[in-house]
Amino acid sequence: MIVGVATGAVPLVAGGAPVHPQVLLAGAGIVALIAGLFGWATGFAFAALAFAGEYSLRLVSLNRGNRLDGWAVLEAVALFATVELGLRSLEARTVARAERRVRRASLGRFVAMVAGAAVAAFIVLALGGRRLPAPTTGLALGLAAAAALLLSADRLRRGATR
Amino acid sequence: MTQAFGTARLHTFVALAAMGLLVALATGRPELAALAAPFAVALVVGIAAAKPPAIAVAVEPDTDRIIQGEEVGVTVTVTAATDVACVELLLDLPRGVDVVDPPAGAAWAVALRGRVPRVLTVTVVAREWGRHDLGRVVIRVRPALGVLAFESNLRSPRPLRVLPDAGTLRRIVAPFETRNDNGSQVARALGDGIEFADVRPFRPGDRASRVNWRVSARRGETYVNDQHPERNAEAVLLLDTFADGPASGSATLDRAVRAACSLSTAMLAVRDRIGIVSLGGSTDWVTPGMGERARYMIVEHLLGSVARWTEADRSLRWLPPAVLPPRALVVVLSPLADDRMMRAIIDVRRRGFDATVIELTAELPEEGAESTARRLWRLERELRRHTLEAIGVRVGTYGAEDPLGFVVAELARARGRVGTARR
Repeated sequence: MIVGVATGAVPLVAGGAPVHPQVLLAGAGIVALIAGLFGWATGFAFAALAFAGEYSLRLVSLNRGNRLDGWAVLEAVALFATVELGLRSLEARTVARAERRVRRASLGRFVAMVAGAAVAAFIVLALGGRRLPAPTTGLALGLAAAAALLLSADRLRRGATR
Repeated sequence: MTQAFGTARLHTFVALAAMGLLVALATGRPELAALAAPFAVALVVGIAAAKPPAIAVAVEPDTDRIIQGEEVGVTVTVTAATDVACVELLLDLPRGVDVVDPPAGAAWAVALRGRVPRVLTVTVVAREWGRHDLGRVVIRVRPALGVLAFESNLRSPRPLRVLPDAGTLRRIVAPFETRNDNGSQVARALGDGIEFADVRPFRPGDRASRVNWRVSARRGETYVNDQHPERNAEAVLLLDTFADGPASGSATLDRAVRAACSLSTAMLAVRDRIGIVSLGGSTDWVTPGMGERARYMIVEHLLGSVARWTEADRSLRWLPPAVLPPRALVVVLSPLADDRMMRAIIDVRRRGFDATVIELTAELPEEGAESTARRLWRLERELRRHTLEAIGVRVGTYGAEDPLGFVVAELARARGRVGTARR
């Protein structure tokens, strides 16, 4: 929850955008996060979308041409940490008692994931110094990528029996 | 069998990565792609690195036979072929078996090292008698980043036989007739034994050790003591499995099985030959025998007892002769609610068997306590009891709260002969 609030606060602290819409989106994100913590896992995705939307307002307001926003890395890490911690909180609600070794390994894995998230966001940002392809081509590529991801997720969801 | 499925993490990451990349491409802002990148990378790494681990589990109870209400330790040994960061295990216990220690339940999340067995222990208590299978274990592993999960239901039958407990009997229902083999029942016949029977004049062939010197001195001629020999007997427990009683309190079949277990144990302890017949939806039997083998067979039979309703006519006439040996005592355990069981008891008595009934009184619901139906029910039962007693069958009532030892002692006393056996 603390990480979620911090994530919602990052665009506000960064500034450069109308505050009221940002606060509204942050509030929506917090509500979705609370719903997620009450057991509705999809709430974390909605929370992340709300926080990302809040950050996007800053990008729209700045409109600095080819200059990149450095806050994106922090926002990416915060978003990832919020979702990951939320999902972990749901997974932890099991009757199985985790031993110390498991808890320690889990913490280590989380730190590694957050570090990896920072690196991934930084690399993408560094590579995106120039504008991406024209919107039409980009849209086609994005649709194809999204369809591929959703199809593979659906296939996995059906559960392959091994 | 291992089943792979996507976790909530998979769906969330897919949705966020897809949406982020799509919007980034549509708007041409790399910052949005940077927001989606961690989810996309975690997704790819998580799916690529997820492999079902080879895990073997063995469940072993400390003993395979306990008395109802006793605790037993169960050891769960888990071995993985490779290192596994976290394995969630759940020992799926059957109904009637509860966890005592650890208090949180028989579920663990443990880390495993490759080929190093990990031993977990749990103490369970058996609340219900019967054959329980402890060998069901559910394993869940979320390898790599937890995007995919692998779940296995492992079944390796590990039966735990829980014997019903109705207490130890100090007295048993002694049969009127005994066999010719040595045992612990005091026979009605006269012969070599310990129990004093009578004094009579000396006859040629009597042993000098049996001379009663005091009586001989008083009477002026030689008198000897007569004794009752110790013999064993045969008994058949007739179990009514037509229908179980109401669920409130102790059901009649449950009481019947507990009583049969206690009676057979007590009778086998005094070297009697015991058999059992279940008459109901299906008719099963165990031919009379003695010793540990007979006890094992009777217990196995009792543990499989279920009440099954049938409309079919059931009778003891079709049983093999060896199941109901002549001169055997027939102990009926029945709520006397079914006419077919009544007919079976009357048939047994008409064939000259020594029979006695332990009536398992069914508890009626509290509603309408003084209703006409209740009074009719009581009258009907009274009538059945009188019908049986009129043909020489003693009936003892065994309520849900009654101790069986008291019921058996009352029955033994009512049968007009002390039913104590030498142990």
